[in-house]
Amino acid sequence: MAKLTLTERTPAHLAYRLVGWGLAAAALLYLPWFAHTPARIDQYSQVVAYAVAILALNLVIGYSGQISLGHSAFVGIGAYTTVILVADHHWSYFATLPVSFALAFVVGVVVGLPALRIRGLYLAVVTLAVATAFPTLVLKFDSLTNGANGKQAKEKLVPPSWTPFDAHSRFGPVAYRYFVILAIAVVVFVLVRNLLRSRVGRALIASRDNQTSAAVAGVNLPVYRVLVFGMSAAFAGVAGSLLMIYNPQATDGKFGIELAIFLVVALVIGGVATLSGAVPGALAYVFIPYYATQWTDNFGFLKGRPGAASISGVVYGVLLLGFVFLLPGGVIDGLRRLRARIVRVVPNPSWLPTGRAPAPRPDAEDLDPTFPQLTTTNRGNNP
Amino acid sequence: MRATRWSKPAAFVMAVGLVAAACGSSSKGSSSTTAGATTTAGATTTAGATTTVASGGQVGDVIPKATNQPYGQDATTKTLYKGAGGFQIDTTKCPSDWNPTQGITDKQIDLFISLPKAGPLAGFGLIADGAQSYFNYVNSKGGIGGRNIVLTSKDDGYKPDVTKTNIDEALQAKKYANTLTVLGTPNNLAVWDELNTECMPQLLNGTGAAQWGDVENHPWTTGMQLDYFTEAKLWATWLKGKYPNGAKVAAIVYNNDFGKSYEAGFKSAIKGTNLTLVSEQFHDATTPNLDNQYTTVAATNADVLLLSTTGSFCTQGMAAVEKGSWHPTVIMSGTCGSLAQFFGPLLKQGLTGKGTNIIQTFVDVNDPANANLPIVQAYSSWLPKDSPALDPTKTTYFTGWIFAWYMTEILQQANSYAGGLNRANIMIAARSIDQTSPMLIKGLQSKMNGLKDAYLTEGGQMVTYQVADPAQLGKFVPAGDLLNLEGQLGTYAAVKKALAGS
Repeated sequence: MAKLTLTERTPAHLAYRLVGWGLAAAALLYLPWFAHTPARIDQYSQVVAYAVAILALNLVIGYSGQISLGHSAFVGIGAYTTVILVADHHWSYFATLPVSFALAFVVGVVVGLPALRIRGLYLAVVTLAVATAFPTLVLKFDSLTNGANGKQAKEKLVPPSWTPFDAHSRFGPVAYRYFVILAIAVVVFVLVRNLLRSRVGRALIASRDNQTSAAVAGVNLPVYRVLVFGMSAAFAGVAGSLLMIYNPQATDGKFGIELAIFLVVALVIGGVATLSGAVPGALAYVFIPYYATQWTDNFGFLKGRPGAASISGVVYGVLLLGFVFLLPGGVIDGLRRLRARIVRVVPNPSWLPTGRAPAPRPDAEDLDPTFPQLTTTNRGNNP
Repeated sequence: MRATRWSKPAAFVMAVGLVAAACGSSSKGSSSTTAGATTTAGATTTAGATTTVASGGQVGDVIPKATNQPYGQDATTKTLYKGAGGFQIDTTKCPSDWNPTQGITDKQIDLFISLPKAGPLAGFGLIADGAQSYFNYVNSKGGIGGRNIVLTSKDDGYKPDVTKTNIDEALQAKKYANTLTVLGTPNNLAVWDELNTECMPQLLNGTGAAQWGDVENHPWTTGMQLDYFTEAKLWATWLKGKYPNGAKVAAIVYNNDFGKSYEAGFKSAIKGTNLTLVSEQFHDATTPNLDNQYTTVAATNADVLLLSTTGSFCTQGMAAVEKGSWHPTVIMSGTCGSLAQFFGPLLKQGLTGKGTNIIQTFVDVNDPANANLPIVQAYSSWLPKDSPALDPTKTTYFTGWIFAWYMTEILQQANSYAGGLNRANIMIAARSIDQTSPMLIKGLQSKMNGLKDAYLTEGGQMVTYQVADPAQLGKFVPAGDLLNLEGQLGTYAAVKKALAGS
């Protein structure tokens, strides 16, 4: 039973939300000081960039109910766009972002066209083909992409003199890049949030939950389906550009099928159809393999045994199974359930014509927690 | 209700059990792949691609000794270090907090390696175990002037981003003197600018790419293996001897940097000779088989077929030739030298791959003919003594010994230089290696000469695969004279010129 009951749109509820957001913002801003080494800050930058990619994937999978296993290609398009423009044409990193966005959008729309005709597993297979084809295309056009050795840009993003970051220290440029990536990511998150709360977002969710009724209600299904694929691809492209700001090196292997699968995995870990789920998903993607390797290095009984480090893959697999079975809604869902034991938010009764509050849902903030294709439980009805 | 409450955790436990079971069998599977782990489809990686069966090795010191090279710190300008071939290091160009003795104390030398220990290329991880075992051997005999060599290894799964994280952490830990044998071409490219800016020696890279000879722009980076460009020049040299009246050559080439290095090296070597390249067929990493390429090159009826490719494509190429009616002299990339890995699969098809020629540089520990070499004896007796889990018949451990031998040679020389053992002298020593490794095939040298010669090994022995019993794996026997182009390639600038021209 919740210890604290808050009514929506009361000063107490407002204060509660402000404190929550304030803490989150403070934590993100404080992170570089929390890190002891620049390498750790770089890892946070990676987390932020991958969070954007997962968010983009969530638009397609979580909010429009289509499956895409091809998002690694869109991330790769963004990454190669940035690194080629910076390395060969001496663009600034910031100027490449709109190009990545536009290019990935166009490719996303083209890939999204089959989504008009096919759904579910068939669409998954089509997008899987995109993910498989991308590394091959990179090798094919090696005059542009530098083939298997990867494309790198020599000029990294360095803090301009007016910023408080010291370009010649070891922490300065790394922290600056983190904040740049963070700022762009925040913009993307706000854009996506607004998109989902607008007419477009409601139309998307309506078409996900029930195509027929959405169509009857006047939602133009083909347009929305293609559009969401394009938007999602565009944001994934931005994520690719962000990865290049952190480390301007693109290789074919980096944007292959493994990334495509792990984006979906990270999405499930974080929570399908939740905006904030992208963050724990990205944390898991970056840090679980990293720490799993470190732990396994310290297992005495494995020490000196050939191939012992392969156990990190097993640890990752076990964790993943744990999530699927024990926390099917993802980390965010788990946190919300935990929070529901302490704080309960109920709708303000004064909004209702009867003036009487309905029975509170366990989760009042969710846009729609149910997603029959991917989650095994329907939390709305679960006892 | 109770039943459903427990069903999920129970299902989870069962699933974990399944994973554990899968893990058990996969570890068996991986050990069989690591057995012959000399190369994989990663193409441009190919670190352990250096094993040999050819004629006996040569007498060299199992532990290299300093040879009184007249290099090191300048007597007047203390920040200037001088080495062979006009190579110099000016430490004032290093970061202001650069510490010449970082990672070096009176007791210990700390080195760092990043390579795949997990994932598809995990077999290469054994190089680190092998290298540490050799360093333990050196330590047991007194180390480097009383200092123990300690190697810290980290897994990067062959992912350049992870390599970068590992190297960044190693740099920031400020406790390593240098890195060695970071594996994979993209992985080394991901960190070489940074390591050069930081004046961190990036030594003996575990890849045969020609870039590691870029002494002008990347003075702090060196390679070790025979590079693919030179390997193809050795092919041409050998063919000139075999076909004095000229020959037509066809090639199947991996369509990437790796394959194109072979192409450029071969083309530059046949200029002005009576060898002609009549057909080149490129294939991609994802091509299911080489049937199309084979059909096209077979139609030329050339005298020679070059398989400038790696991984399973080597096996496919050999199979196509053996099944067909065209019988060219086949020369194959040295990255496919592992019998178990590349020739073994042919046995199941009733084929052998006999007659295939490849270049080898280092001796094979598993060849009985080499059993009496001091280095092989030291290896076979020390490895299981040092760590019972290490199996000496896995040649990748010996590859680790090869890299570690050169690292020890560098440290021994640097220790004897003016100014003593420090990181600038380590870099000078790495560019001044002039000592023959006991692992090399007899007659070959390994030499670096500063700005004049930035490649360590530039020679090899052509060997032909011979089969006595078609149901068993055969062995390599030397064919023709030793091929040695030591000191002829120069630096990466020469390779760049040839690549631009081809």
